[in-house]
Amino acid sequence: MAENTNNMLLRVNNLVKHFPIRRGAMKRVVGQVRAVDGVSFHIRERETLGLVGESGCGKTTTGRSIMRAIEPTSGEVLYTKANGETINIPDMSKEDLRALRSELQMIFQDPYSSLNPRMTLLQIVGEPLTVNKMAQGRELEDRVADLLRVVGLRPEYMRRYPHAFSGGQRQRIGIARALALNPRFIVADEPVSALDVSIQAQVLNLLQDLRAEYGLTYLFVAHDLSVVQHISDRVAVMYVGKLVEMASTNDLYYTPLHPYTEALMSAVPKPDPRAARQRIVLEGEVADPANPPSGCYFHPRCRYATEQCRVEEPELLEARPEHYVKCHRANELTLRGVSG
Amino acid sequence: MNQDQMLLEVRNLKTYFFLEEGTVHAIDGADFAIGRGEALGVVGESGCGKSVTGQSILRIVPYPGRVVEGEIIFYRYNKRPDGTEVQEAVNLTALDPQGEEIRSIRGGEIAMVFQEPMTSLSPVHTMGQQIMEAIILHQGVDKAEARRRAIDMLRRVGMPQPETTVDSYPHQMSGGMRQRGMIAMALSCSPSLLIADEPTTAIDVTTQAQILQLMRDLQEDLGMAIMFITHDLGVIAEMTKRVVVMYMGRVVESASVDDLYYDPKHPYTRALLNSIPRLGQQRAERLESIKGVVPDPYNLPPGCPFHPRCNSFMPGVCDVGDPMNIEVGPGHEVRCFLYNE
Ligand SMILES: Nc1ncnc2c1ncn2[C@@H]1O[C@H](COP(=O)(O)OP(=O)(O)OP(=O)(O)O)[C@@H](O)[C@H]1O
Ligand SMILES: Nc1ncnc2c1ncn2[C@@H]1O[C@H](COP(=O)(O)OP(=O)(O)OP(=O)(O)O)[C@@H](O)[C@H]1O
Ligand code: SF4
Ligand SMILES: [Mg+2]
Ligand SMILES: [Mg+2]
Repeated sequence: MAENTNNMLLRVNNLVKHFPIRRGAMKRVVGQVRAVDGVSFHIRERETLGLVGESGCGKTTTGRSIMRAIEPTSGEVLYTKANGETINIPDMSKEDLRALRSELQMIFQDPYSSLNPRMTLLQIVGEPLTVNKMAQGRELEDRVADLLRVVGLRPEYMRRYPHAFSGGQRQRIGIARALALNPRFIVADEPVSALDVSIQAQVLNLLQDLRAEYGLTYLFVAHDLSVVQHISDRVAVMYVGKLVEMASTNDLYYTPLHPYTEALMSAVPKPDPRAARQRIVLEGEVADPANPPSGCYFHPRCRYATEQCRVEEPELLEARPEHYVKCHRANELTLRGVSG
Repeated sequence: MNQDQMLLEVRNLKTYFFLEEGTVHAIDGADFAIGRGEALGVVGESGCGKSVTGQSILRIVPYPGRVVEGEIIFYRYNKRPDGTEVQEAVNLTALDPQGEEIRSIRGGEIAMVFQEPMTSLSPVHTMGQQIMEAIILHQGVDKAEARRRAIDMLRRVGMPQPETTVDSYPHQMSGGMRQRGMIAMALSCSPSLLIADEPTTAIDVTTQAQILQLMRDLQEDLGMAIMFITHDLGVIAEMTKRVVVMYMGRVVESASVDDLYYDPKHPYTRALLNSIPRLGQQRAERLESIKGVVPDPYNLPPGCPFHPRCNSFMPGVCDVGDPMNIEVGPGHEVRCFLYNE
């Protein structure tokens, strides 16, 4: 992809993460889960890229590999630091990586497993600040209190442990912690999935304000397509370890080019008991990333599949300006986007 | 609701957590009921007590929490030899939380899909072992049969390659796969009540549609009732006919889905419906959120707990007394002074 490299914050090239499958008493490797299988995209400064796709398609693994929360199998993650220097994150030493943590943060999908059960809220949210010697004592408490307030938690909760919170409260603890160091780039993995619509609105407004004020950039993973539409400039759709479509939010939602995207858009439950539904039901077995289908991975469930789709894998091509799609029939099909 | 079709009745339930810094009134006088085979939606602000309600029903409220008042009546229907049914009422709050009786109900007659799968899944056992354990305990079948049923259930919740995923550990699965594993476990024993606490938050909309369909099928075929806790008002509209809205540990409105969406009465419900981001809505607009912060749980405001944030607040009324539950229409109740005369 020949891109204008101005203001590029992150360029991911051919990112791969395979997990070995082990079986039997000897734990022999009998195969590979191709969780992320050659993913490429870029994000400009101050931009929000939404990442959506079927459960298990590799979104979390993509985010974690970028952040080196797990080690990618191969691929480049080029990140341009605040000082203008561009580095390849997979090549960095642990030490350099730690220094970069003030710029890069992740909000984890599963707040329960990502919060240390033996630390109080004050310690959890304050830890990045103490580790980087940015605040202590009274000042630390004030800063943590501010962070809790912006995510809608009461500072009085500061001395409680994570188990004493509701699901949505825990999710906000993770957000407050990620914001503590004023990062430049955040991978937000389902950051609002456990929040009621009012608090969700508050958090989404906060993320947008931070972007406007401090130029934050987000990779935003979520299943709620209305939330993704609201927050993203561009959206990428993944299916079984690969990107199948990527475009500006409006193009992707109103004129999707990939049949999987069309099915996804049709399945959103409408918050209206009188609404009529025309959902596209995906028939057939869910694809297995250890043993993906031939040709186009989506062909066994695609209602537009032809013989070519069964045998030949399509490439991710720029079908329209800045609108990438991985489908043989992208130029001949007219697909339904969201209405409204 | 018809008394002879009642499945669960929660009366004036209070569940508190006794922490060093104060007492958290997580549930503070909740009342609601679920009929046999009914799907009831439960919505409300984060932290208002939805999950603790589920924990209270199953009697698994963690220390230092405790049900301090109220009753939870669970109705069982036993078949007589002549085919007629007898109703038997069990007060769950009176049972020993570790006792024989609640353990036979928990996971069997009443199953729960937990909001955060990792809080209830064992990291050292495979998904299959955990589902099989439940099946063996409640259905008395042998191991081979339990495994067969576990794989079948995993397939029905849309798990890829169930014959192999059955042997995977939770940490090898994606967020949505764990959630589907939990759903499979809960459904495997054909419960008469399923408490589904945010069951599809980690699942894409196409897979979600499949799971919701499965739940509806079980509801129709086996008469399973569902208490569906979710923030997704689209899912509520699709899955349920009746909804209760909770605020700070109480039910503040209960109505048919249609009334709730088209004729909401309580100021909290109205504000909540205004905050929904709708698909197709243009970007860059700011979303509405309810002003003010959730009250301090240790120092509850006097009067109606919503009054500090309410658009219709009436000084001298709302901050003094406690509003009563008022019936404003058939099957539509609301707890707000606007409707008390
Ligand atoms: N530690 C691991 N070991 C083995 N396989 C793994 C591991 N982590 C993830 N996987 C597999 O990689 C695939 C992608 O998982 P990932 O968590 O990235 O999905 P996801 O897109 O985030 O899904 P969800 O929407 O359900 O969260 C899945 O098939 C999962 O089983
Ligand atoms: N183990 C605990 N110890 C102390 N307080 C608790 C505990 N569990 C829950 N609480 C408190 O009880 C209240 C109700 O929590 P609950 O988990 O029921 O909320 P919820 O309605 O399910 O919220 P969410 O939508 O965020 O999941 C919250 O204020 C929470 O902080
Ligand atoms: S009782 Fe009063 S304060 Fe409470 S919601 Fe109604 S109008 Fe608002
Ligand atoms: Mg994930
Ligand atoms: Mg909850």
